[in-house]
Amino acid sequence: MNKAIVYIILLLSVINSYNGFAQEIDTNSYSFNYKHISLIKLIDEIEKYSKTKFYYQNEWIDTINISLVADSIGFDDLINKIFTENKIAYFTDNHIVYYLFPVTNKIFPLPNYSNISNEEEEIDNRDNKAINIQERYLKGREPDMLETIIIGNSNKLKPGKNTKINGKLFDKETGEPLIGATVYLNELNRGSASDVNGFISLALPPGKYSADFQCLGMEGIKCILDVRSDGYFSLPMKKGLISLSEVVIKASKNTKRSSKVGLEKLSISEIKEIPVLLGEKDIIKVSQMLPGVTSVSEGAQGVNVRGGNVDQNLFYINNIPIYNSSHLFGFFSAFNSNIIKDFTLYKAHVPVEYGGRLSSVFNIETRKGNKKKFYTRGGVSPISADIEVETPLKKDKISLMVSARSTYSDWILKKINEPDIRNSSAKFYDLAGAIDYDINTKNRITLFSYGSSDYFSLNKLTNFSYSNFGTSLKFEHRFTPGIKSYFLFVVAKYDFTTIDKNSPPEAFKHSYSLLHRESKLGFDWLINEKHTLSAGINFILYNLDRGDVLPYGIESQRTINRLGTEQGVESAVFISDNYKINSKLNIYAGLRYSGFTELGPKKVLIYKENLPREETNIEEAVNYPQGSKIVNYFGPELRLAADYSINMYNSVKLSFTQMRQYLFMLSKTISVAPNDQWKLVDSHIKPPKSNQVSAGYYKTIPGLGLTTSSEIYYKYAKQIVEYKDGADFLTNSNIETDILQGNQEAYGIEFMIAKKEGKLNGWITYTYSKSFITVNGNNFWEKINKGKTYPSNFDKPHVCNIIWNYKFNRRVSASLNMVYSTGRPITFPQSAYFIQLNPVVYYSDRNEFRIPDYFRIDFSISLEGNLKKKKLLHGYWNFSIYNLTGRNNVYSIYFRNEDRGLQGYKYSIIGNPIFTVSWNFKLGNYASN
Amino acid sequence: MRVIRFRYFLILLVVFFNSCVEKYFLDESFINESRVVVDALITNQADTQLIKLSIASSPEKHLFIPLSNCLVKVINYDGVEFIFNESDDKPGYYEGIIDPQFLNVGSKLKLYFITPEEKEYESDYEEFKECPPVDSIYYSIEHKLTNDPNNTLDGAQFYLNLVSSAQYSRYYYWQVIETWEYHSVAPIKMYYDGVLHNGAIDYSLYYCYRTKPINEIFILNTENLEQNGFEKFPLHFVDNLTQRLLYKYSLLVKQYTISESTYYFWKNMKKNSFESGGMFDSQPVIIQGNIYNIVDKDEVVLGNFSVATMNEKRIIIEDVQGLSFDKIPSCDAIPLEERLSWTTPLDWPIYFAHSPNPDGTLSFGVMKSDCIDCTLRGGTTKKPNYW
Repeated sequence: MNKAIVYIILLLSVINSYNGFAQEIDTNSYSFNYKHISLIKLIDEIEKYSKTKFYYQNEWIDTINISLVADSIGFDDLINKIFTENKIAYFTDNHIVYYLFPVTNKIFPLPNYSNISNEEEEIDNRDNKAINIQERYLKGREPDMLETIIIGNSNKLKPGKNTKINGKLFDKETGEPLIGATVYLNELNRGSASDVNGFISLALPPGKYSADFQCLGMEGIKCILDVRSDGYFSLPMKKGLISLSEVVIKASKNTKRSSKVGLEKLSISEIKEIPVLLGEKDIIKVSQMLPGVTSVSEGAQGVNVRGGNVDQNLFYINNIPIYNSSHLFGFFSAFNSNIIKDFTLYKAHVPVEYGGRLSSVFNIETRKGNKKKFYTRGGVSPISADIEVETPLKKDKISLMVSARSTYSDWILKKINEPDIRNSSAKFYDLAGAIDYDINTKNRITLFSYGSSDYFSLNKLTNFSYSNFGTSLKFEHRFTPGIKSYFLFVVAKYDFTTIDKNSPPEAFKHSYSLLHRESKLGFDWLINEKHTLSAGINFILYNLDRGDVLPYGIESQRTINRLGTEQGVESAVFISDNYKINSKLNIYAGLRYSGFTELGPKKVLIYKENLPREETNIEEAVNYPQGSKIVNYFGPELRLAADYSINMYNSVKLSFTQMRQYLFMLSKTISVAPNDQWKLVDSHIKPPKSNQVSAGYYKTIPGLGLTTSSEIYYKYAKQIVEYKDGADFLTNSNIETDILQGNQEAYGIEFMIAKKEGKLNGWITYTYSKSFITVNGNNFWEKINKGKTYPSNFDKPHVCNIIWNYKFNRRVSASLNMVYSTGRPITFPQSAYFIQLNPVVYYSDRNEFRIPDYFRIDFSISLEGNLKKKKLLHGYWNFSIYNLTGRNNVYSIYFRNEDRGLQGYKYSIIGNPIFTVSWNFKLGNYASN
Repeated sequence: MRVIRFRYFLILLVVFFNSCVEKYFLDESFINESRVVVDALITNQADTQLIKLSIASSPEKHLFIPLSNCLVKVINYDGVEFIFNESDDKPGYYEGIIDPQFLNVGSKLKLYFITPEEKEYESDYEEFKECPPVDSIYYSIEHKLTNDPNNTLDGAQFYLNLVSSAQYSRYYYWQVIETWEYHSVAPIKMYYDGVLHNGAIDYSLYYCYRTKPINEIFILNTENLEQNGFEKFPLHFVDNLTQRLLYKYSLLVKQYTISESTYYFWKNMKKNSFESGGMFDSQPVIIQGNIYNIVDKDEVVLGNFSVATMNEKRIIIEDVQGLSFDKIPSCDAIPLEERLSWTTPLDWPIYFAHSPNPDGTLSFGVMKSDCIDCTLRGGTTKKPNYW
């Protein structure tokens, strides 16, 4: 504590500064930054710099330490902050002499004078003495009184029953719903958090509660909830002009990292300063700094979550599934971070509403538009530019958001000497649009569309293009405050085209497309204060056209190869109950019963039993007509979770998650390629299934503002798809002949220490994990690596990430991150021999060796524009250095035949520090959002 | 199917990141235990057939480690055996003669051998497939782009047309052997080998001929093509930085029809050797040959026993148009007055000649031996009979 004073600036602001008589009311403004200072010491400081005097007895307050950060606030507000918010009663009649009172345990609801006649007797059994004191000093200080929100009507109250209330929290300025805002009811010692639409639901006995609303980046609100029956309320929250102006509430309930095991959340403000490659802010890249999320290597497409393949992750942007989440081979993600509002990753416990992938669900919620006024923002980086525009179509009711991002990176390629590159070209763009209509408190419609497209031409010999397009329509209806429902309709399309002209006689063009049509109906029912029920039904119709491989150009002598079409329905019913047994123990039990039906038309080959599935072993071919059922797979997916709060600062969580997957990616390369096809399970290829057990221990260290978590998991997946040596998906329409199914086993332990508040914030993670694959069928042709277990391509046992942000002041901040991981596994040459004078290589067992470890440090500085309140445009600059130490991290090791023998080469993509400047702007001032 | 060249694209993406490539050396500790290697291609055109048995070497230093003193037999489907004997001067080379009647289309052969440690190995039966004649071999002058935008690498790209029909196999393998004529800078006129000779002009070491197989595996599978044929199948590229195309150049193309399993063996072999380790490469393939240890089926035996019907064709090229040869490295005379006094017999003979200066004048001096003696550059002075 003795070092607690970081610094103090008393800003004796020149404006209206009186150097006058003692009787003058203090009109100076003050700036403070204290951490854990004793109240007595703070009072001394205040007395020193102002002409006030405080009277109290030491023993009343000598145990109180407070943290206080404030910038340019008036004296009255300062006093209010220190005492009212720390629940210390005081009295003054001249704003110069203050009398403090002994501390009581609770904050008391204060009467609202306009409603005083409605006051009920309920609160009368409280400490009368304190009330009297407060009444005395509150007279004449009406602005400081806590607001009371009356919910429902006593006439509608059903006796003996809990009431269900539903509140909508939104940004006062933009009208946007606030996600993840929390309310804490002091009397009940419990709280709740708002959903993606800003709704908070509570079941509680009628009565009055002192409620404390908090949301990251917003000013906290304390008010009285006067609950009389079921009903709605809405609460606008103001931006915390500076997030630093918040007094840290030490015992805050909502600082815990997550409410379920393996749940990760990021807000865009958290990633704003993190240095990134070429200035492209990227939520997916930042997610790789979280424990349990890795990728094969720098710039690889997709992520691997807890030892799972890239195709085991489901990416949703406002409910639209994205089948290729990358731009430029994976160097950037396909999501424009300027429109992202909220990001959630489920890597252990997955709620029953979600399914269809074994490893994780990435859920991205975008901004829906400003309902109050026109707003725009955008940015420029060396390779791309983006803009976002929001406007109300009907004030407070309908908003529109549109965004676009495009690249102009070709100029860089033209500067390069390597001919393969000079003659290449790369382009990408993405677009998004949303209309959000708040019909009334009970109904809401959201329409969202998204598109992304990539094109690259490699030395004019190989062209790739791919695109994702989708639209989602969501209709939400609230029957009663406790029951809400939603209906969702989604159409998404993913397609790609490859043109390969490397060898004119073999030149080909191949186009692939996947159409995903989904509808989902769901209910959330807050039965009472203990039970919340969710249920729903979900259908997805897939239409895959694996495409035709067509000859390209007049010289091509290729035959047309039709890879065929596939169609199927994935369906699921789900139900879950979240049961709050008591204030400490919470249990979630859910069941998702999912299934898949493959539909005709299709020609299915039947192979002879106990022989390899090869063309020579075909017994017969069965033709299924359009719409007929070919095969069915159904099965339960159990989702269980429990969390137990040991005390305010410590909790333990457990989960058991079963997942099933009905489509997978045909990918045999080490990193996913942009022309890898998705494929449905079929009568030969069975759906992969997984079980994951996870446990976590979470601790908050309130004094330091730290949250820590440790999670441990074990995952076992069956029927994982692997490929035979030499598999070729372009010439083979019968994929089953190239596929083997095996088991995947992954386990690990993840540690994270995070600090989300204060000048210095960030996180440190360390993960130890393993991931293995075994393909060991009964027959010799059903084995890979001779049936021996081998590490998966992305098995990186040790991963340590550090993100460190420091805010010097409101305009300048610096950020440093550090990434370390074990090198990925690799198969190495073991011996060489000659065949017809040609040297040939014999390789080790699969993934027996590793490339060198990966280590990188990045650094960035962000400069905000001026802090004038009234301005048209606010800009900020970001200067970043990627790979500060210039370390040559090995991307891959490859071998070439040279005169004497095989020569290995280490290939590093980024061998130097890369400096980037990017500029971003937004309409309005520093605080606009 | 060509593996899509993502590696280049990645290089593309990252050159502006100053990406870099450094040599990487394997850790000595994981050089493996010894494995038996079989290299055998029995063709209908050879008088003496050759089977090479060896032990695999370290991947970074290719060595032929012979497996000597084996009993080697080739056995036909009816059990007729042909014994192969180890060559006296080349250990590990086993030679034998198979009567041509067993090398006809449709004949089936297998390999059997037993090592001095009494380990017995056997191959599957391989069948001879009919081979069409080599159609045409030709070249076109091409200018390949280089890292220097202002310069191209010029040379002749050789191609081959395959004309075949349904009766033939759809799997092909080509061996390409090049022969070229090259000249020394000057004939011998003046040299010193302890005594200074300055006599008649001697052209005996001036004209040389060198023959070298192209170390590349050319294979083709026409299963996915409309016809059992291929136009403009690319062979190798010969640049203008050597004398190869300057005087006379000859190519011998041996066309083999092979079995499907041999095709895939070579295809995988090629894949592993030339395209490995990149991010968009597959895992290296386990190359499964057709030879097994009779007792221990799990023992890894490398290599393959193949039989093939072969047809060959030779072309000879002179007067290549459209190429300049001014980039061939020249030999400059080193003007050294005192040189002779401190040479030793090891340096002898020391040749003297004139070499042109940039300004057109000639300067006189010592020439490097291989500039005068063409046999020091790998060739022979014996003119091939087809020249």
